[in-house]
Amino acid sequence: MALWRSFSQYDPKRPFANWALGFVRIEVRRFLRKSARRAQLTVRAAELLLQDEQQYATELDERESFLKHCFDALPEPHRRLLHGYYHNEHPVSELSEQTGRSVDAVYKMLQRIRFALHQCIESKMRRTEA
Amino acid sequence: MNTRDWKSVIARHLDGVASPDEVVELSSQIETDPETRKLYLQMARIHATLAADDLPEPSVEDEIPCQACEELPGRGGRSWRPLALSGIAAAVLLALAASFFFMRPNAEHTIAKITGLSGSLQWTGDGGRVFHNLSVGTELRGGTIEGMAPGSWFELEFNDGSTVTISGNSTLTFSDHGQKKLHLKSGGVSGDVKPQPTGKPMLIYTRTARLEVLGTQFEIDAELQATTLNVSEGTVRVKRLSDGSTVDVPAKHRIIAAADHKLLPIPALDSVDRWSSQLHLGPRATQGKWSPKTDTRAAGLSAIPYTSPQGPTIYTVGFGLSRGDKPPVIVQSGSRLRVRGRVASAHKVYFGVTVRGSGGQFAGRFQTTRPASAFQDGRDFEVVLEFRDFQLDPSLREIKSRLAGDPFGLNVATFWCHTLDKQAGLELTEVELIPPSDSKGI
Repeated sequence: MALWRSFSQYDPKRPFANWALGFVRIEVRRFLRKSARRAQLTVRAAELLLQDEQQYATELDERESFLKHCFDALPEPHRRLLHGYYHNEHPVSELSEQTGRSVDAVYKMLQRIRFALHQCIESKMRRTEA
Repeated sequence: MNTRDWKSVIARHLDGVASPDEVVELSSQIETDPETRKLYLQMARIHATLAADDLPEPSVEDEIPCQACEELPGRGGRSWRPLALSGIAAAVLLALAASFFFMRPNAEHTIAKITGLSGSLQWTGDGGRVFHNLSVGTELRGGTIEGMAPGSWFELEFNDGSTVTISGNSTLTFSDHGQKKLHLKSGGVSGDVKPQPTGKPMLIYTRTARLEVLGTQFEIDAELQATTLNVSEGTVRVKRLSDGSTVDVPAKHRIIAAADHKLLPIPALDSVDRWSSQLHLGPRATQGKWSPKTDTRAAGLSAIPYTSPQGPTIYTVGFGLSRGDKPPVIVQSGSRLRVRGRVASAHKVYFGVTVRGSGGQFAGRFQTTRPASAFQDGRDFEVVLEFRDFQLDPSLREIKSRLAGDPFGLNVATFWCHTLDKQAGLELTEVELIPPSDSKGI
């Protein structure tokens, strides 16, 4: 992920957490304001995820390359919705107001699009393995 | 709850809208189910990539078209405020929670441990962190080990007892995610591999070949244009990458995988007890700064510095002997080394060899020295070294019982020569191994 990709910039003389937070300030500043609201996974779960991320690093990179193709294959409206949510960082409630649809409806649409992307990646991975 | 349900919970967690109860449940599931962890990582990567602006922008930005919502039922909803960029936030949380994994090479799910090492080595572990303070017994996950000097040596034992060894200036990346995979960028590696699981041989990649090892003893030497394999026991399947041709190499045979070489196993070459550096032919299998022959000077190889974080700077020059398509070079009792060269300023000079057994296993490093008084500033020198004077490198004392007592009868992997701390302007012009039978050579 973005943070892990930037490890080459990490100065080992600095505390890791400070470095990571410095990265966050630059790259994902909003995370700092809002992270307190997020219910966090247990440390053990996070440790296991991190271990597995190392194990699947190559596969995850491959999946990411497929994501770009799958994203391009989305209908234009779906790409715009993702862009509004991720790039413009509009909350679902705002997207809901813009579109005149309910919050639930917009959020479910986002979920469906992301699941479709996941499905698309899965099928491309299967094709590669075959 | 089925997989589809976990996908929704994961997505809500990544969006920051999962309830505390859901997150507790999800944590528990992640702790016990590898498939859920895999799914979480896949979904997190999608979120992170979407959030990282790596994807192309649509042509219209500020309006969310109704088409995107038309197929959905309109229900009054809660006023959610999901976290955009939450995928990267998840990454941050994970990285912060488990930062200690990057701070130590020993971590869970190690695949191998260091069973022997010597000389200047550099270990690049997970997350790209670089370590120099390695020690025997250190357990490792995958990564890259580099021998930084001609005398470097590193032995690794995988959890199944298979061992691989690099020596000299070699770079090896290894991993084991159910199948051992090694990438030999340069230099030499030898292995003693236990029988591998069916359908999952050890794979070794070089620039020119892919090798499948089921269980055997072998040595591999990788250069830019060719890979040389010597098989001591068992069989190794070699695939030449340039044309995809494949051949099985049986025990006591060797093969050279190169685009301009016939891919055919030949019986292992008999060892020789005579060798010369032949620097006029170029700097093949050497470490140092090579200079060609001129009207007034012989071709030479000048020492180059290497400074390890823990140790002094050594100015070193080295030659690979028993490697590539050359026959193994052995030291006989009574063998001598003649070394010619020059120094800019007189210093104590160290001369040494790294030796290997017939199976390629590291057998020791033996050295001798000549005092500064044996050299003159700015003058050529010639020294003749008796191998009976060579002593085991003191840094190997702790594993002395595993090593040979002397270099006799063993293959010379590398010859090196260095000065310590100060640049003496050491340059070698000729190194020659003289067998005991050759009395006229001296």
